[in-house]
Amino acid sequence: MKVTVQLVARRANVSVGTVSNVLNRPQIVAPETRERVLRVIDELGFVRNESARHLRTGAGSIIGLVILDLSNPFFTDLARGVEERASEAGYSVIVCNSDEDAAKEDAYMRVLEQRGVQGMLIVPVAPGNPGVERLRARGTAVVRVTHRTTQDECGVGADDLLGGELAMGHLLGLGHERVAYITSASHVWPTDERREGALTAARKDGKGDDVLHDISVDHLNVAHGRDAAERLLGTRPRPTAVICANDLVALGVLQVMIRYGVRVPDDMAIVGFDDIEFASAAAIPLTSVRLPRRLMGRTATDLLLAEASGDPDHVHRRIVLQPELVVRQSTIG
Amino acid sequence: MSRVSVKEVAHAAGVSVGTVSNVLNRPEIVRAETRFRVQAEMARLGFVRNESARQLRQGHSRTLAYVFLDATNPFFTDVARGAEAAAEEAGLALFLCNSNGDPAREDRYLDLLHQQRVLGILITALDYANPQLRTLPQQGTPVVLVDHPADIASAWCSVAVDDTLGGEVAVAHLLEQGHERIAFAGGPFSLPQITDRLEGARLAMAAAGRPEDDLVVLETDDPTVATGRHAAQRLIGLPRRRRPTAIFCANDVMALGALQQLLLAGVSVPSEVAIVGYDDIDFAGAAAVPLTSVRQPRDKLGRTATELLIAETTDNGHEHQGVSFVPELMVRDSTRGKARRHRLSSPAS
Repeated sequence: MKVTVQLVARRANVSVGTVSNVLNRPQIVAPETRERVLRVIDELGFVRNESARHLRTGAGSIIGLVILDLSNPFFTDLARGVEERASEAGYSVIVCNSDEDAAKEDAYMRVLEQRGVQGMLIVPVAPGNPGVERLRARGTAVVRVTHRTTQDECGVGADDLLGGELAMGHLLGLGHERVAYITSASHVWPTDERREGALTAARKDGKGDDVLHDISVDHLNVAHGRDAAERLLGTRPRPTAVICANDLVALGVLQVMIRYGVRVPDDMAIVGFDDIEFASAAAIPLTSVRLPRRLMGRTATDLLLAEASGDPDHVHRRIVLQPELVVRQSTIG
Repeated sequence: MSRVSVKEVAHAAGVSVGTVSNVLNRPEIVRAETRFRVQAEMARLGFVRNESARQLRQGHSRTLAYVFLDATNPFFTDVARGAEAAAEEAGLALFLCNSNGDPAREDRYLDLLHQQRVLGILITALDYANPQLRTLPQQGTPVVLVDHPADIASAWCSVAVDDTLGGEVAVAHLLEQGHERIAFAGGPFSLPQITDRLEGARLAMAAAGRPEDDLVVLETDDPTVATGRHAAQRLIGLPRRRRPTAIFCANDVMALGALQQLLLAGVSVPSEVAIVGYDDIDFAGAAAVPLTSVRQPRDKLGRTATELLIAETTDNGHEHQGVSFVPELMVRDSTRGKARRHRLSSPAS
């Protein structure tokens, strides 16, 4: 059953005009009424049909991309891959930044849906967002760019277990016996998988789990990397190497090591994740686990276009891309 | 007493605004320890949920858009973050559109955003004379120019940093350090940001009484890491006697490219060639040789532009304004005298 403005009005016990005002000029509606109407809209799953309001929307040619952190070059590189592939296929890309905020992610999904985009690529804040299922049920194609598989759907991600194993295997091979792991305090990032991979490498090397010492930060950025480095230096016995859950954190750690005169890599070896362009331009070029970000973006777009084509024989595909260890001076001097 | 904001809670708990929002809306995805800390701060500060943020959550498609030149340049993403914060406070969504320096793509976005009836557009454009851009305000879509100098006769608001002053400050600093021949690297010259910085560089040379051709101009197709590397290569190729001892790059990503290339070629920075960048992006201070750079208040540019745009969409008697910010020179090792020698330990050594 299609949920109409009339149905919303009846359930909320207001006129159709009031529902329209809530949608178009919410500021003129009394807060209580507005809340009641919005609640009914949510309950009934009403979606405004934007295209009906415009004669010519052109929205069918848009792909929406919702990312976690606009300031992280990982995502701007991913977006380039999406834009390249979308442009080849005649689509424009609109990027929205959820800022790791689930409520903002939901809001952007709704805004993009209302605008009638052809499809959405989402780097999700959390797995199993019911909003994604609702979107699909109402006819919008969605592909999640994530490491986590929760259901039968198209998706693309990186093999983070292998990534963790490569990082740890490299450090163990260099003789390090106590390694710190700077990880995220939220479940948003694939940090647990990377940790598990690191422990696999340790076990293969005949070591116990205590070889890895966790330090968690609230955000994987340069500033929090600096804080983590201070804590790392205060840890006894002090680890001789550190794996950072991304390159931004690694750059922050590197700054602190240089400030305190801790020699990298002799006194502290550093491995990052992502291999962003700035990793190789760092004071001491960073060893990093490279993730094929542009390819991830291109692949996700391919999957989305296939899904959005409405082909009745469409079969869901999950593509897992392989990481690669890039060794530089921050571990081998 | 003023309301306690999400931002204050985030600050007190040492987490981001997004994390506080997740604690409110999807607590299960936040680690317990963090969740408890945030909830404790909410109770302590007497936090009450805010309505405008709720409006955004409800997904009203009141939307602004920012069209910009290069998503891989942190300058633009920082401006976008400032714009986003101001939009969110007003309960608006923000669409980000990367023209990637391609005029056809820029036109496509303008067309699309107009058709989509977004409330207004922020733009750092490729071509401000583009008729498609110029007619948007008359067609009912207000436009605010970001990183564009104020234009008195203009039909729009603008925010910018005084780039002429920025260029002047950068080159005056190099002259003070004793450099006589200085290179300017940047492009395309169709962008006022670039030509204003060059103009500033020329003014500083003139003020110091240096002949005009002591400023060696290395024009590039665009201001990227790759063209920065290429500009440095051209600099190294100049006869030693005529080679400038300093290079002023039109932005930091170019300066980082130039730095990489110089170090790779075994040229010492700053003792053989000093470098000044522009923007002071986060990575500038963390570079192989920390970069001296002209700082632009990026977050404030985005915020102010968005506030002007919102004012224009809500106020009938709106008058256009051009807001200009003053740049600030951040001096670091890439220009500091004959200090420590920074060499990349080459693989051969």
